[in-house]
Amino acid sequence: MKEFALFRGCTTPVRLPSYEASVIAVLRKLGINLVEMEDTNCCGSQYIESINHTAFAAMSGRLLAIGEKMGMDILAICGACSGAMKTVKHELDHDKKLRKEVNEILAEEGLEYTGKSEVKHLLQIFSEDIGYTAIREAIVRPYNGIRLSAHYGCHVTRPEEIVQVDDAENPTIIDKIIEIAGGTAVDYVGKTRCCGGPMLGMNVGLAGRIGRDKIENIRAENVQGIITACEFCNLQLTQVQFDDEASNLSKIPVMTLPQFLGPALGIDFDSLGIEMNKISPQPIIQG
Amino acid sequence: MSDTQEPRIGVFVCHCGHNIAGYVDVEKVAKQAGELPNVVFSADEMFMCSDAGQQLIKDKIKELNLNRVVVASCSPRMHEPTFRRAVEEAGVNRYQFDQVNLREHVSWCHQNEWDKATEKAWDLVRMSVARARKLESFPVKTVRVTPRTLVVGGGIAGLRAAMDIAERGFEVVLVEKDSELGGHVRKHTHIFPTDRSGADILKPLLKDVKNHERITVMLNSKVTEFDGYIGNFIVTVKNEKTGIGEKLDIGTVIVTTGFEPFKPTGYYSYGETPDIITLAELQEIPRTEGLFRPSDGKPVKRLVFIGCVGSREPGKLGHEHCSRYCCSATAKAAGDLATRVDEVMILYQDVRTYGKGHEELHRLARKNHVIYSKFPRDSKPKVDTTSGKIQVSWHDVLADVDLEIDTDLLVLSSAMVPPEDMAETAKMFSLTRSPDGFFNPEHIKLAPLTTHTAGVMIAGTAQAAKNASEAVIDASGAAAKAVSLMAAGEVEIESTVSHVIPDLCSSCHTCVTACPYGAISMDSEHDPPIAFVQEAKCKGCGTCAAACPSGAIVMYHSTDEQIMTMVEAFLCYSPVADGGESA
Amino acid sequence: MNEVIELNQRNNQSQYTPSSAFSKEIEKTPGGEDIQHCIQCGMCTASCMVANMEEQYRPRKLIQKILLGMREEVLRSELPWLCMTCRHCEERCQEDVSLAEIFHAVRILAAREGHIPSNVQNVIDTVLEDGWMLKDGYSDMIEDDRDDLGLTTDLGWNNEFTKKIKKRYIDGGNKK
Repeated sequence: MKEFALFRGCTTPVRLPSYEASVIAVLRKLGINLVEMEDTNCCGSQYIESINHTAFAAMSGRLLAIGEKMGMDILAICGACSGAMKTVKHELDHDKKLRKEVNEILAEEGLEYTGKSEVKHLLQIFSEDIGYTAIREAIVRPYNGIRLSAHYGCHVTRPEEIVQVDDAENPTIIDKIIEIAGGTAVDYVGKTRCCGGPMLGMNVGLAGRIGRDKIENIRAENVQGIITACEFCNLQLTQVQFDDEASNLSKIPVMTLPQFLGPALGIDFDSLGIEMNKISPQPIIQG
Repeated sequence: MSDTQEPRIGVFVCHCGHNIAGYVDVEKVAKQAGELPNVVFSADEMFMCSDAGQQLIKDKIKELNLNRVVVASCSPRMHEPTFRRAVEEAGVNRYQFDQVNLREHVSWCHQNEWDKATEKAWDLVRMSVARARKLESFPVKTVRVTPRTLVVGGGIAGLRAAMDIAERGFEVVLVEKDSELGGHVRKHTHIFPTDRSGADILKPLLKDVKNHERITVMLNSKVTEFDGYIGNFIVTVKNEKTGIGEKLDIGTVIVTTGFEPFKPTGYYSYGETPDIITLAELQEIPRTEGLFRPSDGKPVKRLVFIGCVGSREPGKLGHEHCSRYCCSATAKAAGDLATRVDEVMILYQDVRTYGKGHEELHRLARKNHVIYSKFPRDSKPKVDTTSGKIQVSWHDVLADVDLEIDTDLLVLSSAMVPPEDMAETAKMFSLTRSPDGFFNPEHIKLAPLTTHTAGVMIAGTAQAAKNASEAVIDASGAAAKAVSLMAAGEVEIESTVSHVIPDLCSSCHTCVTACPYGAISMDSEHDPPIAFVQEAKCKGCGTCAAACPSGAIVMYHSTDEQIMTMVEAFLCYSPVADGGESA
Repeated sequence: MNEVIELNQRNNQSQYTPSSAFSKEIEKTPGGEDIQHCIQCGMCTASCMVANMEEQYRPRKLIQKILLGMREEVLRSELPWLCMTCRHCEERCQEDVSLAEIFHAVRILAAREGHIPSNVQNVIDTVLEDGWMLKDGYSDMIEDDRDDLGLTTDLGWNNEFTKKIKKRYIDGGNKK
């Protein structure tokens, strides 16, 4: 069984534990074992990143060093974490001075960054480590052509040269898996645009406008659900549908990719936290 | 030269794919044409200009002994030479071919009127057939081409053209009004994109020109008289210093009289202080380690460029064009000088660094911390020198903020304009000018280096504002055109010219004045003198024939009779008769 | 003391004299290396979702202000903090400028001088103190949910390291 060190991030365990549970259950079914990283810290994305460069490099660098100590590659399920760690890895691999400085502070705990551990996002596990054939073979209860739209997330896919997950302007991993699971993947205007999540800290109103714009573009394609690959995006696209401005509009269920894939693989709903979704995904599951 | 044989006319109506056939019933027109008297063959065909179409003409000429051909297709400006060649190859004189324009004159302008368009097409074909009956054959004439080129203007374009021609084995006379060759390039101390001095770049070219046995250089000289026609020009060149004029036999001419850098008096306080100069003036400052103010010799700390000075001003005649060279030259100058001064700014309307290596100059300037600031088109920067400093203030469009700066040196990237004596040169060689003031090419895309004066080419900045590399490209192109004329040794001239009937000429001189091409002179061998047309200069415009009060001038290939028969065919058409019977 | 100019507040200023000093400073700050590559084509603003929804936010304009040297205005402004780092602009910039990185550099300089939006400061304080962002959000109810899902309830966050980071890099004026 292939193994990865799982880094949950700050948000998933508290705000969307169903995502964490679905990841573990689905990956186990598809032959990947996840070992929880312990004694971790925040990756430093967005906030620490904005005030001090070395601090940020040290925080994500420490996570990379922990993975190295565990002798495993790291799986980051949050887009921001995966983006941050990949960026820091890229910098530490190319900036000797920075690496030396980060290793100095890590050495105080007996940790070291040499660059041995890769960090991957969940989508890469599906496309690279498991493969579409294996997924197809594991499908036992395919969906019935239900129409679904994918939202990939900015930090998951960009900047392409560094994260190397999918084609940044035309990503297809989630769409392919939707199709393999028996759904119908539907494109929409502004597919690669941001959900607005990162704006929540600065301006909730603006974040809401950006998120609702995306929802309306998706709604225009007459789909039954939205499939995401990051808990932050998932929470944002769910929450904006509860804004006052959206009160008279119907709610489109938002599911994370593993939560969507789980039932098709024969995994029970409880393990996937289906009941915990704020907008019930029953229409999708039944379909 | 009239033919006494019975006209046997072939009519070929072209579909031009969908272009004509989509809007005109070409089959009907062809069928009706077939019923006209003297029409021995009439058909419609998909593409007359194709190999198949041309072959059809040749086959039918041979098969049916045709001696007149009418092709109803596109404009003669498009394919007259094609069809003339085809009929000639089958033994029919090119002047007994007529082309009817069913495309530009019918299908392209009457796209939604099938019936009416067809009727018009039929009218035009009928008229052409009527004319075809009266067409006469003419011999194809040629004139000799003297193997000597006159290059007017010894700047970089003139030098290049002269060398190219001399290297091909022809003689060149290079005339330059200044006391030195090299034009403006010679005076520039920094050339883009290579940063060598102009004098340096020109050195090998100047050496080759001066030493070439086939090139005669005439400095301090100007062309004072220009007569004759293609292949046979008679030119007088006068040395302004000695006053001596020399007559030369010339086969082809290349005009490379160049440009003048615009002196922007009235713009941005130019002229109020020696520290406001043009880019051209900047480029003539000798190469030094640092950059110093012209006024007091102190080192320049702040340097500001303003672009589009005297260029791109809608409504201002002669200043509406983009001068093309400036954005790239400015980027280069700014990028270089940024390492020698504290702060460099470029105030621009647009940045057009379009050429090979030019974008790199732009990037280099920015890399060296040149600040680019865009000003609005309708609110240009203001320059105030009243305080003793040069104060520039403007609105930055992209940051939406008002800015000002006191600068030590202000450089105005001013326009490239035609030289002062442009009008004189134009008149001398019968050249027309575009709205930007530079010489008009024969066709902006298809013939950018030739002019409406056959045998006279233009090249370099005489043709339009451009940089030195582009001027050299022009020069080689024009040289190639000159060489191809001289290498052929002779050139065909049109027989569709006017002709004076000596017995009818009343010696009134009206035609001499009327001719726009100066093609008519008085032949004093007769008493009183008779008007005489120099066929090689005649363009067949017909002005003289129209003006002649004695009706003594006949237009070959457009005789009164030929034109009248077309009018009658149109107005007096009767299906039975041959056009012209009624009334 | 956080002095941040709120969004939509008009910035009154008289004539300003441009200078390359600020962009040189940004060039030397991590993330700001490509500042001089921008040719002001506007592709970034055209691609930006924030610009789409908020009239005041124009990435190209902000970059031009940096290039003109308007240091005080840029460092005190809230605008550089509005970038979502979604990197649409970067993917499409013809000169390969990373605006998210440049704005990170601006933020770093702004933070050094005490200009951090209060909500950002709060999150930073929390993360450095607790080791992660949502310690206060980890309620009993959520702990129960995790238990129901078969997930560990002890999340095992380390805050020793982040406290060390705070002391070494953040306190004392953000030396690095």
